[in-house]
Amino acid sequence: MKNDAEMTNIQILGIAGGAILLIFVLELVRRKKLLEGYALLWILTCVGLIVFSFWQKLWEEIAQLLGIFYPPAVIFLLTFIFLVLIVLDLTIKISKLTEQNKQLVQRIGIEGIKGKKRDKRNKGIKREGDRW
Amino acid sequence: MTNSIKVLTAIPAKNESSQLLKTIAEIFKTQKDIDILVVNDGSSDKTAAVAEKAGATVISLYSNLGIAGAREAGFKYAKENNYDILVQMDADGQHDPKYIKNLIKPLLLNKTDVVIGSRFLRAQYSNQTSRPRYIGISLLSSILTFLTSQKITDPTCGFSAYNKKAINILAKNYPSDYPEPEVPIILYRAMLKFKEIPIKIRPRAGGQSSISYKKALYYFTKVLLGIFITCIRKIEK
Repeated sequence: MKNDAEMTNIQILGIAGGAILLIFVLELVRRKKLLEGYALLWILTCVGLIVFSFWQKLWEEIAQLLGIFYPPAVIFLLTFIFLVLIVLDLTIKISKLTEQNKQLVQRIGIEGIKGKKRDKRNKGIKREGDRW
Repeated sequence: MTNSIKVLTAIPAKNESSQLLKTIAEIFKTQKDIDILVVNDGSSDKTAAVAEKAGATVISLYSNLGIAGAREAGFKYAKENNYDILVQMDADGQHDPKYIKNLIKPLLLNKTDVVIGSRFLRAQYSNQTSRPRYIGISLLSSILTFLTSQKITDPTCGFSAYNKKAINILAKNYPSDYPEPEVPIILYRAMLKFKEIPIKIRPRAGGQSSISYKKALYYFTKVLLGIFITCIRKIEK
């Protein structure tokens, strides 16, 4: 492979960027600032970016197939697609949290009444006990 | 009312302490055998204390969920406490409790599953809303009438009554954001019957409901999206 000897600047940028982001994401996971489940798409993005940057022939062919005149733009396209996926994934998770939060708030409200009724009953028993 | 039938009125309330006492007292005056549930939707005033003092049961939502979440809490409470009929109404005094009787009646006679109040069923009650709102409401009515193949004249009215079947379905499938226009579609898809009865809305006690064209358009777009989603969403039985 003659590409290995001579890497273009855009390849170096892709690899370095991917690697730095990957290390950053892994560090966040290690410190529990980011849950594994949420990190998965990020890790995939980074790995994809690195692999893709190495594999010049693949993106040159994809570029030709799609009629992209500037082949490295394929890398950006791919990164963009992944970012869209990550954002979509985030909104799905926010929706789920919103739903869970709603159910939790309603549940606490409804259970709160039960607690109050129980307290009232207990008070009644005590008063009766006092009389005797 | 028969003794064996348990009726609950659910009133979502956010910072309504000034109106609530009057509203609750009025309900108790017109309907003796009725339980009142106030869903205190994250109020910062004394709504909960006022409601309790007036004799209502109070669910306090820790954070503000909005009208849909508060109404849904009413459905869940009614379901869990085995109520036969649930009446939903507003706290601000616009809904006259004298209509509760009319709302419940078709349910007691087993004629339908849900009764919804309508301001526009009688011509003399029609002039009760601002113009941009009225345009939106007419459009929505046509869309809902088309989708449910049943005449719906007032798709934004929250004053309504539900029997046990409807309580069960709506406790599980209540819409988010602006619930009223989506409810008929859920009912239609769950094969429940509903009908409208004429009501007259009283003027708002505090200030006017001023909906501008811009706001009406935003509301309308969001409701349209909601209606579309409700049409394709799975209904839990």
